[in-house]
Amino acid sequence: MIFDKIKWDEQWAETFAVFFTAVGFVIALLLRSALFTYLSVIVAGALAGRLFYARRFAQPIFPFVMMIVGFLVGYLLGSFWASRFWVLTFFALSFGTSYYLHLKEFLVIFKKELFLK
Amino acid sequence: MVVKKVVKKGSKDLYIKEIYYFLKMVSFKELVERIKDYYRFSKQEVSGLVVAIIVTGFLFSFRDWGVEEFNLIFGLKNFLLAIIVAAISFWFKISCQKVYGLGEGQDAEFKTWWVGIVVMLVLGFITSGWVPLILAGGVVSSFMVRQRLGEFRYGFSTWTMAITAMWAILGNLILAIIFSIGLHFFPQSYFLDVGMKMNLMMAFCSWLPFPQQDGLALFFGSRGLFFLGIGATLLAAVLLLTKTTIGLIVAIVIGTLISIGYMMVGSEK
Repeated sequence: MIFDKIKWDEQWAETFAVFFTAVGFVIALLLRSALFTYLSVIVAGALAGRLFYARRFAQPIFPFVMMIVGFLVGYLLGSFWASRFWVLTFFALSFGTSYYLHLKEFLVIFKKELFLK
Repeated sequence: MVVKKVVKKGSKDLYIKEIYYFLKMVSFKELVERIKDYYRFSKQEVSGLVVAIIVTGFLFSFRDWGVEEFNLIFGLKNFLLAIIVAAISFWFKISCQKVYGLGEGQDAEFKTWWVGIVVMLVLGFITSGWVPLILAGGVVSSFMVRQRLGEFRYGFSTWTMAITAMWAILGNLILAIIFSIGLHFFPQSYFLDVGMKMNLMMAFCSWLPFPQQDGLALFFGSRGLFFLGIGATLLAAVLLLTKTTIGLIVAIVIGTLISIGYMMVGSEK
């Protein structure tokens, strides 16, 4: 089995990056409408912006960048029914907007003062 | 009511005693006061819920934007109705959890799962609205020190969290039965039909043991309740989705019996 050969403690980042590439490819392939492809990439970009904001000062950050880029590459490869240029543009715009809104605290990460867990 | 019997640690009697203590209720007056003081939706809860309600409404009305060809007015009307149903469902479900939490001295707050919302949206697009999952988040509880003073087992309880999570499923099933009763009298109503289906789906998705969903607290809190949750949901789905009178009556009878049993076991202290 291929899973037995993976050294998870060393290669988890690459493995997950490949996994997200496949996920992006499959999602883009299954979305047979240009409109839904653009809408999906916009929400995916917003989510990636949030993830990047949450991890921006935490190390390691590079594996998460790899996963985001992996998803984007997979999505671009699978976008047969939409313009790849606009997919990339929408992702970048949505990523930047989401990151900026988090930075300015218009969008926040859930925080509960009394929360104990 | 006070349990006077002396019990040994690990015995069956102790287990029953613990269940009794966890199912008890605070006095009605105390509960009303707690609701007055602490029942509220914070700003971050409301902002997350608004997005969750709109996305849920959109997914459940996805296939209803025209019978044979696209119809904007028809679609918008259905979208609006689905949003109203989603708002009622989320409000009722979370209110059940908050009220139970307050009764137990815990502050329950809805935490939006943004990744889940994206997943449900993308899955809805991929399946053209055939699989409208509701993965909008769950409730997290925190310990209210003053409301727990003098209580048995002072500390934070995973069992209480499990019951709080269970109330998500129960709340949705209660609403599904109410919508189903309405549907029995008005079979052509889109509002009631969507209401029943949405609540059944919401109950099922609340049960899923994903991080950020209520099901995870249920899974780790009590394995028995976890299986009871899916059993109750599937039973309700079978009884209600058949849209037969006998199915509806059986669902109401079972729901009523469980409610009576719960109230009798969990009498005021």
